[in-house]
Amino acid sequence: MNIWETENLTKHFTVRRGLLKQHQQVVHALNGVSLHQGVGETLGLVGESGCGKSTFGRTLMGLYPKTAGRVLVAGREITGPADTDHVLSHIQMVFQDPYASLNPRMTVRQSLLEPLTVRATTGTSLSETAKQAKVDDILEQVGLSKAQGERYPHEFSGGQRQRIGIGRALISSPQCIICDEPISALDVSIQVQIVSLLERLQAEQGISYVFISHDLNMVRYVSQRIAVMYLGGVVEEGPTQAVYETPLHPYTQALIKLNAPLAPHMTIGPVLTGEVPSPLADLWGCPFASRCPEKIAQCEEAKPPLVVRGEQKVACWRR
Amino acid sequence: MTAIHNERGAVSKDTMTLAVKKDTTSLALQKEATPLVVLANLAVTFHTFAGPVPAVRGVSLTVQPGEVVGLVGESGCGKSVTLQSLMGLLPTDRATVTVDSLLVQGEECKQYSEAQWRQLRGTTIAMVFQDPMTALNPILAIGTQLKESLRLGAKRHNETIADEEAAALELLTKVGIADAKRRLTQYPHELSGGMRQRVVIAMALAGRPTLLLADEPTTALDVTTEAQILLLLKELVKTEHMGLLIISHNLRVIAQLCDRMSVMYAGQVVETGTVEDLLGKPQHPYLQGLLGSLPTSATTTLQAIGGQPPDMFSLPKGCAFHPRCKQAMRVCAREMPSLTEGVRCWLQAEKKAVNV
Amino acid sequence: MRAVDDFLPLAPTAVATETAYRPRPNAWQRLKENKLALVGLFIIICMLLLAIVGPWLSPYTYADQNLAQANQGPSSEHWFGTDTLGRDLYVRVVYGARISLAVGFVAAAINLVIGVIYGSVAGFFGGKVDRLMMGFVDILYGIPLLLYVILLMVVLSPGLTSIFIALGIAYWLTMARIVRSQIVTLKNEEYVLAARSMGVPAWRILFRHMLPNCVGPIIITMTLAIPEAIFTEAFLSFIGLGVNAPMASWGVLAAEGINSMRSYPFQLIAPALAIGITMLGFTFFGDGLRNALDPKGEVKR
Repeated sequence: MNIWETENLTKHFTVRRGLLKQHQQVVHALNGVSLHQGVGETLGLVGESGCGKSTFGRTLMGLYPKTAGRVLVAGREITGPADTDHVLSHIQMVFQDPYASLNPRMTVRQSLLEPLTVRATTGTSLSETAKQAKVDDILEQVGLSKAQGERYPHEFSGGQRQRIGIGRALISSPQCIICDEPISALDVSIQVQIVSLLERLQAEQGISYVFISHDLNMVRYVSQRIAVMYLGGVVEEGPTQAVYETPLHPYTQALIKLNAPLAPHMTIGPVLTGEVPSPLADLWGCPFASRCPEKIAQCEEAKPPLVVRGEQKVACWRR
Repeated sequence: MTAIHNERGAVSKDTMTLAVKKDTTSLALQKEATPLVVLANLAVTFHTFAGPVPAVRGVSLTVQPGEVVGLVGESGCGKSVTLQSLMGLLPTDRATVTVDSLLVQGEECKQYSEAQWRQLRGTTIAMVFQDPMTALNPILAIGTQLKESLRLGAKRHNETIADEEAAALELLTKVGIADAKRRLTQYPHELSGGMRQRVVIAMALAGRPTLLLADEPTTALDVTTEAQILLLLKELVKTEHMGLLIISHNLRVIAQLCDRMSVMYAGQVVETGTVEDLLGKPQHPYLQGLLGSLPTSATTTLQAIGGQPPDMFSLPKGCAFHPRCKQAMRVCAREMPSLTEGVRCWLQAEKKAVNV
Repeated sequence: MRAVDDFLPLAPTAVATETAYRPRPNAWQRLKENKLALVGLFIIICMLLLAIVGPWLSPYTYADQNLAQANQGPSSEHWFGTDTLGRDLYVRVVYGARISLAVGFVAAAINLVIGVIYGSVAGFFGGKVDRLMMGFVDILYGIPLLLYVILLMVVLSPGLTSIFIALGIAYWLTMARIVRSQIVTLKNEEYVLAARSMGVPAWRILFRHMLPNCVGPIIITMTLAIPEAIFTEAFLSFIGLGVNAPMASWGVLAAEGINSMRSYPFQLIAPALAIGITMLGFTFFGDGLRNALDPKGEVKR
């Protein structure tokens, strides 16, 4: 049983330009992404900035209205704002910037209480004391003291704030948490603390994660399955180990080499030449063609579909 | 954990033999050359409403010509402040700066006035910033900005440029920008992030500096672009025989570029030495912890450094790292260790005491 | 030689993991550092006190005429002297303070109510609503204030009511623009997105997450709008579009004083000083507040 499933999920943003906003341009942020997630599984979403990985998370949650495609959450098809409550009771989100994602004028306790007070499905039926008890419980789970709950976000370090962010997602008892670059704003020594916290919560409560990150090594460490995105589409997907040991797509191969284990005077590269196409452009061929070392004529003519190759799926004409 | 260390040790031994050879050749070169910069015992305290912040507490460093030195540390450890002090960029009205000596190409600069610093900036020392978007003026064409840097550089060197266009083109080509002629007329927002950083580097090179400072030059970029910029910096150090002092929180960047590195924690250097030594046989528990925090394979268990980053307003007594250190001893909470043989840790003294 | 005790493991109890609780210096503490702002605040408080209790300190009222004592200079009996009709200038100036401050605070209230709500609605809903609402504001901006007042005079009689109505039409525009731009910026803040991702309803996001975070700019705009309104009233009264005789506002007093400027300069100096000092007070205080509430002003200068 899948917690959620997307089929050809597409999101285009319209940008208006010009003095009278007369020129409309379409940003192809997501171009038909089909993914799914099993219970208790961590799905890693990797890619460079602008590849649509964050947009995917937000569109999946309904924060952005989808342009086309289907979203199913816990077996129910999501059609519009009426389903928001259903989605949010299953999926919650942890944001990238722990400094920006908490309201500076609300105490930690107020921030944590909010999901309980605003949504019928999670908490309004609870009594006030039960809500407070739940907040205390969550504070403990994420490693903060009760007294710390009365403080304001600016009194915490980045790592502690991210704990609060995780607690806020956790309090709705979701089955899945979308972690949108949860550690990239943190110091290296704190990153591991947050990852360990996420792992512990998964072991205890069986929560699934969508782990969105550009840090391939961390994604490999936390996820069982991984999807590599490039320019709004998935170029490779499969079990983490398989993708790492036998990466099929040239982009995945390059990413893995770029994230090779640390060694003094290690070689820099491989360097991908060529520019990333603008997301405003209508692409006919493979989005990676402009930088691909193995490009053939066909790559510029038609977009390769995501096809099954053993355990993996890959979108490349040459595989 | 130990198994991994051994493995790392083995790897570094191979590279070390190579490095030793390289070192002897470069040492011969370095003997005649004066160091580009020698900073001795820099201390910077900022005065804020909440009280004084000792951002830097006694940092020393040296950069030789043709050498790449890395400064590693987490946010707030004082690495950026150290870099800014080398350019005379610290606000003296709200910071107290004390330094034993600051030699730029053998000349004492600690008493320099703003006007004297301006003579050095761009021509002797140039800086590459983290965010290429904010380092460029968005309303001026690339060519205009480049030419201005060139003119400034030439003025300070008491030269004149015959053909600014040609000089700008040459600079852009030097930093690996293809189709340079068209790029000159473009504006910053028309370029990709990597391209912009190349332009920023080109502008830094306009005054032909001997020392390039780079503050997290690739942090705002994607990995694939990062590789391009790192490669460019490495090439430039070789071809221009510059010194490069690079700040990064990313150990990979340091490992790829640097000859020597210093690790900073709470405003102090806690370990310094060659990249081979520090990455292969880290001595300080903090550096050990940092290296243990990097997932190298799917099966490693990550070794988290516990606790919170240091509170710069009220630093712990003794070693600043001791509240987070797994190997902390009683002395660590009482006295601050000194930087001996490149390591600032009481464990070194303990080892010696045991061996005797 | 070091003691053996040195190298024994540190007792884990000694490890303090929690960083010390240290509240950030708040706006008030920062304001206290700014001497000029404190002077401004002092002036405002003095003016308020004077406006409230001032008239009782003198046996005269603003309308008492005594032609026998016309055009007297300042004395122990008439502190600021008397005007051409023998009215006590001190009482008239202090009474003028009531009107001026009332105008100021009405302007502030209009700012707060209409400006904040209008601006936040436009900013929050965005798109067509935003363009329509802000287009309307732009049109109102284009019409000079004097024109409203003169038109209002046609409908109503000149007086305090028409000044209030004129201020009501014009004085929320700046606030609406500022609040709108704040809300538009805040919409992209991650905590607002986070609130949406938790299913917080729109009105709650606006009132609980967005508006409290624009309190700084709102207060600043308000404190700077007050002196502007006071000055506008004085100006309108000065040119004869203000309050009716025998009521006295600073503008009316100044206009009367200017007629006899050569022979009795004190009649002009008293109201002019009152206007000047109050304006300075509010401007100093507003400036100080702006610096104190600006989160980037963390570092002492």
